[in-house]
Amino acid sequence: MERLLDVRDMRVSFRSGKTSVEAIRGASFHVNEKEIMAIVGESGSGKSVLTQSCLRLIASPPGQIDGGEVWFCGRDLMSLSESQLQRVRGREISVIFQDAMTALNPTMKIGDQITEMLLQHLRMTRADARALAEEILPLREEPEKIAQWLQRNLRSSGERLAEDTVALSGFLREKEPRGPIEQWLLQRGAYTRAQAREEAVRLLASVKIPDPQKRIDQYIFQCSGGMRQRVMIAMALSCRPRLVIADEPTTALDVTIKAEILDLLAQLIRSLGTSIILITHDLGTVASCADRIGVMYGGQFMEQGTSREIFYETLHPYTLGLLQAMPRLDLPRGGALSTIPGNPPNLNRMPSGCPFSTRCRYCMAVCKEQQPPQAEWNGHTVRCWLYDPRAAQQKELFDAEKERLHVRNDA
Amino acid sequence: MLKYVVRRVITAAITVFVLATVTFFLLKLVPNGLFADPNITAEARAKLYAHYGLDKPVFEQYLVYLRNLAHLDLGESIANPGRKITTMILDPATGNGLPQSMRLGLCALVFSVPMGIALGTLSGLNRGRALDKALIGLSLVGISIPSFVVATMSVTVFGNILGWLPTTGFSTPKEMILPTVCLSLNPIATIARLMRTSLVETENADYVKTARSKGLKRSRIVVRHQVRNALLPVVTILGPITASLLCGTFVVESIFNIKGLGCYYVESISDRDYGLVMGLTVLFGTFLVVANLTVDILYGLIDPRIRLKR
Repeated sequence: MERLLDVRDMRVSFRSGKTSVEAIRGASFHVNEKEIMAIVGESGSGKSVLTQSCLRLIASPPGQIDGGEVWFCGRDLMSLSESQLQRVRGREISVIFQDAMTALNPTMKIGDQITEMLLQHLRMTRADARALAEEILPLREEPEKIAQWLQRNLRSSGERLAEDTVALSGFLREKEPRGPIEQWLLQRGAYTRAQAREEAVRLLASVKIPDPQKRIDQYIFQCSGGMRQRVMIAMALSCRPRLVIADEPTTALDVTIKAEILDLLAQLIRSLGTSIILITHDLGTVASCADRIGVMYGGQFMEQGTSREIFYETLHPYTLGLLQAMPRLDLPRGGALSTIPGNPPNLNRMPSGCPFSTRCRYCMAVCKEQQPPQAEWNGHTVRCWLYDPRAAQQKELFDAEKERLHVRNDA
Repeated sequence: MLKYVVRRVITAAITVFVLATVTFFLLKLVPNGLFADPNITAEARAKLYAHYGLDKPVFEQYLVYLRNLAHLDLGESIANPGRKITTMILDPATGNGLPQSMRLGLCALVFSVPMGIALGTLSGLNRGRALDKALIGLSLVGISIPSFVVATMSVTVFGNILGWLPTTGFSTPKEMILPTVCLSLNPIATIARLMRTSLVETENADYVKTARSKGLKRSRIVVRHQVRNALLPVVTILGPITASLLCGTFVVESIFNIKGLGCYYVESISDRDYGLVMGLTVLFGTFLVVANLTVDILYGLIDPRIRLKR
């Protein structure tokens, strides 16, 4: 499968005065095309910092990206200039933030916040038209590819798509197609304020906001919590990005609305063919919808694999702890919930070995001293000393514990 | 919004009423030495008391004062017998008094508000850089140097030594420059400092991060997202600044010999012209109240959260 986003060995630190703390300590992960990748971890494990760093969104100072590569569609985003990155942000990779109340501008109408994004990215300049014409020329006489290209770049759909395809194919049959195509693109792509507004209404309707014509002229504080998050989603999807980073999109919501919003998001993402990075601290949230899951702890990925692998072939003690900590309805009432003892490590005083060593039930001497290497089986990766051949005894204990959990689950 | 405005207007009216009452009784408490001159005979004094209505019981005087005030009649000046205080303040014939003060104040206001906002924005956007530090230093100077120092210094330098600008009056454009600039320095510095702080605060706001994640250009983020939100606290201090600028300023008017209300205020106190003192105090107070009222309404226009609250 093709990798859409490939993040390699990201390192991010925060400086305050003379001290500096490492928030992300060599994290690598990737997102495939049309996939829901979930990143799970406790508060402070670095989920948001990692993903926001991919778009260089963290405030700098104090934040600082110390190293790493972020490959997206053949480019390393870390090496792009700010203005090049601006064309990626929102248009190709967009972000849904946790609390829409603070993440949306309180003094700007909902509609304006959506249209400003459309107008920023989808307004066609002469240079854009020239560049796009360049892309079309090699597609000569291949209506299928032309249609695909139109869907991607001009967002044509339905009858419009058929018309556009015919028009473009017509131009391409001419001797000197470049000029007419540029002209046509300029006309076709000129996104007026009124059109952007229409599109915003359509977007609000697509996230099931009732009465979008009215809502568009309202402010964010006039909406309920679920409605706000819908606006946020509509905005993030407005330019049909290839990747959406959803940073705890449902944490601020009621449990009932939570499921609704997640369903809506998953449905829209699937229909657009977009990939998504879903950040959450709740494994239960992602159980049903994620294709792959990465478990973060102390600024690193402890384990990454498909949903199945994470839930049923758990490799890391931390993941197992999270699974055991999920509340269950089938157990007798009144029993204490299972927890992972202790707190996440202080970033100022990270253990020199495995970050989880201070809380791990299977901790060995080596865990406290050296960072575990990453082991991999068919894309299922884990960072743990248990998978060193010398730790066979300890691993048996872990496997037995895992067995117990799964037997319970199956019952 | 209408309810909001009505409520504000009623509060403002009550404030003005209380102010007028307190001013009246406070001035009654001042030992009335106006006609204490030993050269005045008892008979003449009684006549004067009767003329100004001072022979009646205090409460009756208060009622008369209120009734006249409602008709915008502030009585007769004591220092300038025969002249109505209202006419002195408005002075349509010579253009002195309130019109003069307002011209000066308006000039200063029009100069200082955009200037302060622009400098504050510039400083906030370049936080930590040399430009920011220079602007902070300048604004500190602008706030801490009293206006009489600035005014006298600029008169000396630009008027006497360099001879570039006239130092008295306020009618020709050239005459307007020095007083306007002197009067503006303090408000510019105040506005700039507040604007800077406020803008820096928005820098870390979630919605600014969202705006960046949308791929907007920096200029658009600053103008549409940051400045507008940063203006809210700045608008609050515009009320008192406007009132103090429009109502005349003792120092600048005195130094540049501009016959405005500030000038009158100083004179009326030394003349013990209590009617004029009372009238000017009520006028200043009303101005302050009206300015604050305007700010409250303006606030509603900028911040939809206030406008649309039921």
